[in-house]
Amino acid sequence: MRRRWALRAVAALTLVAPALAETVVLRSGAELAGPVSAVDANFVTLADGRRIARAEVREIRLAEKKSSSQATVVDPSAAARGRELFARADAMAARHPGADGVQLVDEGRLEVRADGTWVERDRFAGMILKDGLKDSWGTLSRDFEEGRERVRVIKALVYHRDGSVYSYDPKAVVVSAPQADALFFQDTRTLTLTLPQVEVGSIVEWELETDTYNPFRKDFFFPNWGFQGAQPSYCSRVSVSVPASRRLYYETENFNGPWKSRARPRVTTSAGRTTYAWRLDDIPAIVSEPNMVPYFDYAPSVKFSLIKDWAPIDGWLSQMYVERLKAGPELSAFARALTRGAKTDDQKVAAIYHWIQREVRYIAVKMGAASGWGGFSADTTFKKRYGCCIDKALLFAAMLRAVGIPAEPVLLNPNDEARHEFRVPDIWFSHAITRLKVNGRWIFLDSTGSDYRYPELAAFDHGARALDPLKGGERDIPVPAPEHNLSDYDFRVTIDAAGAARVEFSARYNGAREGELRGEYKSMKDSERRRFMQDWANGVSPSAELISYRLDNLDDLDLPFTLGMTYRLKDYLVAAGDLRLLKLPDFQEEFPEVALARRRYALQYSTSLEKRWRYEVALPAGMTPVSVPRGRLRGPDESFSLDCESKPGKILCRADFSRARRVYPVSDYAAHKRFLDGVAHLMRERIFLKAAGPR
Amino acid sequence: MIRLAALLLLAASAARADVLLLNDGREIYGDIASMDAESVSIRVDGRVEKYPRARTLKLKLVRVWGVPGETTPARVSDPVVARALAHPARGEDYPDDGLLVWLSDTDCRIERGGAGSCRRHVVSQVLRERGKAEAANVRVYYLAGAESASILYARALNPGSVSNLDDTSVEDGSENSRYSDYDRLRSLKFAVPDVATGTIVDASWVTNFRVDCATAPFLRQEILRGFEPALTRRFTVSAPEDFALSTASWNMPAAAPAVSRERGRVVMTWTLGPTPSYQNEDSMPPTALFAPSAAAAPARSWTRVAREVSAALAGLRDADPETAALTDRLIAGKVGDEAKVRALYDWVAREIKYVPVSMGSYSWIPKPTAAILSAKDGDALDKPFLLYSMLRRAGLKPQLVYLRAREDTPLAGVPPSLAAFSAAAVRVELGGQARVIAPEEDLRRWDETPGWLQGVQGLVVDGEGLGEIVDSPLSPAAEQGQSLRESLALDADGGLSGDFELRPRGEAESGWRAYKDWKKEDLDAQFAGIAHSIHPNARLVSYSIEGLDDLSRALVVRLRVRIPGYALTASGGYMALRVPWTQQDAGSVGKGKREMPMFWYVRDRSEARARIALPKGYSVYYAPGPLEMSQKDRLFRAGFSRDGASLDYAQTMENDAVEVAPDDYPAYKSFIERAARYGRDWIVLRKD
Repeated sequence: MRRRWALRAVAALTLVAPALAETVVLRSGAELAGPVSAVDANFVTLADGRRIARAEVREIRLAEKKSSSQATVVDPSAAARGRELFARADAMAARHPGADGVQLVDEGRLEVRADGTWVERDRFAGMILKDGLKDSWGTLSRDFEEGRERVRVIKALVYHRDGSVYSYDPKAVVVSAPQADALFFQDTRTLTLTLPQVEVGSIVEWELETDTYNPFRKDFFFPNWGFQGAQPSYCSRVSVSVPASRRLYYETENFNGPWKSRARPRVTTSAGRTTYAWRLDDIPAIVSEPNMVPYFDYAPSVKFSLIKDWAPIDGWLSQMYVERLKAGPELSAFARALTRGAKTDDQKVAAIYHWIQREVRYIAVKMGAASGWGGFSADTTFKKRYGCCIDKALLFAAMLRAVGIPAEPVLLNPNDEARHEFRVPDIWFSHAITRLKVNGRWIFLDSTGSDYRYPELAAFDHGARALDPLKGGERDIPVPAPEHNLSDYDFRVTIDAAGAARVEFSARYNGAREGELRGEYKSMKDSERRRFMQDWANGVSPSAELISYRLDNLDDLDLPFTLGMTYRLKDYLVAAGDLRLLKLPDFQEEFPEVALARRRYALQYSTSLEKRWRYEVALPAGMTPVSVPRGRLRGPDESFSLDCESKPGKILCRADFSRARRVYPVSDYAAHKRFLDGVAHLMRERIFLKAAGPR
Repeated sequence: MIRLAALLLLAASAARADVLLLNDGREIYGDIASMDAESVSIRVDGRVEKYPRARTLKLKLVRVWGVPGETTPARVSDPVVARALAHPARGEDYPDDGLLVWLSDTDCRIERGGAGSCRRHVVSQVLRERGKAEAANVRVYYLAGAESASILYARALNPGSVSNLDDTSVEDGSENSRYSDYDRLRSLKFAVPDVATGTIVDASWVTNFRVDCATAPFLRQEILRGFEPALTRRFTVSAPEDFALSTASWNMPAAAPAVSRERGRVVMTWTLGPTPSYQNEDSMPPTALFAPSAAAAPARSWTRVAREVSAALAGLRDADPETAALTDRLIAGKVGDEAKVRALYDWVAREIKYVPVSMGSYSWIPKPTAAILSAKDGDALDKPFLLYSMLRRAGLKPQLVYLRAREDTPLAGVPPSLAAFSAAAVRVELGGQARVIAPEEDLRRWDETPGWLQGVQGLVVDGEGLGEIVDSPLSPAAEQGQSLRESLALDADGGLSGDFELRPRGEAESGWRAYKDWKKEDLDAQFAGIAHSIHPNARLVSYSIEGLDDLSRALVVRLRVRIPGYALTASGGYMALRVPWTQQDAGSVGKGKREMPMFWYVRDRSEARARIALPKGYSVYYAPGPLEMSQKDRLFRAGFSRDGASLDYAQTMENDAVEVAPDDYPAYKSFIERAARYGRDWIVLRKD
């Protein structure tokens, strides 16, 4: 199946007419067919003489290809086709009991034309076995960009087992402008077709053509194909045909085990064209697992390019970035004024980093290729006080340069999307951050967020690989050592004779975790924070009474965020005869990511982690420990220790958890699971105390 | 109308900031001066650049949405904005809030002839960072074909500057484009630039409609207090004097609006302010249920509304031949009305794909049954309507009822209007009991009403009793919640193994039934996770869900698990354990007191019975004594008993109320905390 992701939406569709059309879009939403003969200060004039007040016109599209979707004639062979598909489906369903659907056809055929434009035909067929697939397989939907792409439904049929075949109604093909998420402004169109008579047991089959007749760059051909999906697949294949004078570059990933031999394409040459084809058969379904690595990190896939290396992409991006990085006089003066009090480069960077996060809110405006990948100039973002990731990265870099700190934007995919491979070039980056040189060292900072204290950056950037268009080449963003993602907890607990506990708790953080928590608390009103703390204490033990709490430096990004609370837990000691069971307050972790006995896919976290707990528990007179928990565990690049010792009148406990890795391959899962299950089990242990007598 | 036209004229004369998009991907920002057959001219930074027309993708003629002439704060004429600029609020006066609403004004005008408009004007001052998005990002909804929306102006005022919104951060789009058969709801969205802490954001927009539009009847309800403080919130409705309006208000300190008459028009105004902000609390009711609000609609009676719907259904209510034939097939051999209802409900629920578009987002008049059957999909109106038609064909006497969901103000008191309703259902008498049947998703059995449609009222819009207001009652607590049975054995090493059997009911059952759409491998992983949630050492041995694919059967969920090291051990031969999966959670009752009631959609009763076979050589050192608590609407009962070598546990938690008033909250809090504390107690065994 085709997969694509980017800083902006892609695709195109048009309805009707083989020639290029011109369309005038009015502010009312109505569209008038052109051509347009003139535009001046007051009017837009059509070739037929109609004049429309310029104020009523929102847009004039000049390069549009529209075509009507052709009706599919249900010819006599359709019934035979249906029988063939049902036979295939029944065999697959028998091999995959419990499947919600079986994919019978999954094919992509891409053709690069001699003029440098390209067309893609996708075919799909699948049998629906459970209700949930009626929606996703019963609705055909494709995004596209007007003026550049046209999507056509070639065929769409629904087969029933009784031999009936239902074709779609071309009038049911709808092109709409979907409303984007709250913070995104983009010019996408969507073609949607709801297939008729879709039911459990029916087979849907469709063929769709996407004609990229007006790409903004003819050498920027970067499709990709993933062979595996959420349902078992009979066969998935893709072919790319290019003029014989051109070469196709490709990169395959995850062609493991029985698929290893299929990584190389079958290459044929005919009629002046070279075709590269891949095919995989009998592909099992992807099974959801907690904390899975992203799709392209495990699924067999291939990506294509007509260019060999990154130079054209670096050149295109650099040209835009160089222009957009120029800080005008106002912006330069502002950056200098902002950093006037800074005594070191660290302080300069921090001042600008914190200012951008606080003062430039996230809004993404994507009008076309240039704003999509190139963003807006630093001056524009400074003036608008809003921007997306690339806008903010450019502004940040421009301001740093204005105060003498070398800096540039870099493009990446966050670590919850696939790790970008660089052997074959492409433009599918969904995020941008800034690389800068401080004290002789290059570091990365992400100004997209709101709450990260210098030099922290969001966890989803850790471990990603970035493209540096200005200097060329790839950059690896390191995963910080665990002590740089630290949550440090301190508890002073006083137990009284009645078994109540007074707890004084404080926490300090660093790394991405500090930024995440700061953001969470900042989003709440003060009264809501109090409620949150009360609920937190009540979660430790019912009928907790929150005495006080503090959140330090919440709004001051220059200082570390810490928090503390004091609460009282009535009846905290659990009595069992003359025994008392004491649980260390708020000392419990669950690890649902290791629920499975075995995994098919690697497990990933957003970043490394370290946690420390320190307890000092003062006991009432006459109460003595019977048993205290302790233990040590080690796993792959991880460790946990719990040590409690009895002292006169008190118990001291310390626990340390450290995990250096972000990703655990399948080969390390068993050890990792054993480790985490052991940690969770140890953390459930109680301190057994003996009182002077039963309560 | 005159005032509105003047505003539009004003807006039309504002400046431009156009975009020329070229085929090669470049975007040129400036003022598009002209275009002819050969080229496009654009003025950039004072100089004119020319680009070949053949290389142009599109021209965006960008409008700037300012108020002409008001280029600096000193020139602003709006008195509220001027006051906000002159005497801005201080953040420390509103320590809890992200922004202060200086003015939220809705002015709805109905004109002679039936045209209407609602103009919104909002002036906000950003007090803190988190207030920026709410002040500066706006979304306006309207129904395509019946309504329209447009911006009048939007700007950010900072010391010395006015920054106007322009089209680059304006988008008009479809809210339900994925459901093309039901894609009518649109939204106009915009983001004001240059907003910082302290900024005054001033924006105004208008929606236009017709009061006589059958598919988009006019009913406007405005909420007059929100989650940010406001100095003034105002809602005005005006109409020609001979146009009858019906109004209502809820939770308002003074129920009646101020009424005036001017130039042949009646003007009704509700004003509230200053009002503090609400704060979020756990299990809060939907805002409409507690916030002050007012509503207005053309005066009708419910009878008239019902008659109008019924008249519109004249050619629709009888099943078309295909639907009729299908109905006959489905009920063949079914004896009794209930069997027919079940057969038809099960088919409609399963075979007609549910489209999650609410009634008000598409239409209040259903599609013909032939169209619903052909498409095999239907929204919250079409699915119930199809069932209604089929039940009529089957010889029953159903009623088609339009309901107002629980998150809205109760129907009693709402000005009669079709727009008051958000869902439909079929009401039918079976065995002397009126059943409300709403076949939305395929997750509920025929006799289970979705939670949000329980405890509400509806209007009979077709069938006997046309125009009557009827109840969709709350289901009894015993029809919601779950029963849990545990049959477990503890070994001498502290390992626990055995079976769990869960019988969910009502909304809980519909939640589990969603697994019917999962493929087996995903279910395997999910149940492994469920076992793991009992204890990290838990291993899932087997699981099953009985009745998953058969809507006519109740679900029974079974798990068999093995949990090595389940019990805590301590020196001295002690073992301590708790009964798994029976602990209550007090995390939502942390607050000492509440401003708002607690709210749930359904009543609830859950029971658990566990038998734990004890290991040889161990005896019970301690087991918690029984606990029984009851309050007016709730009950908790739990306790242990010995039965030979086993320890039995029984627990019941019943909540018969869907609301707890703030005054009653402290008692509720104690109740839940005590129940939660009971679950924290341990059973302690000691080696003999």
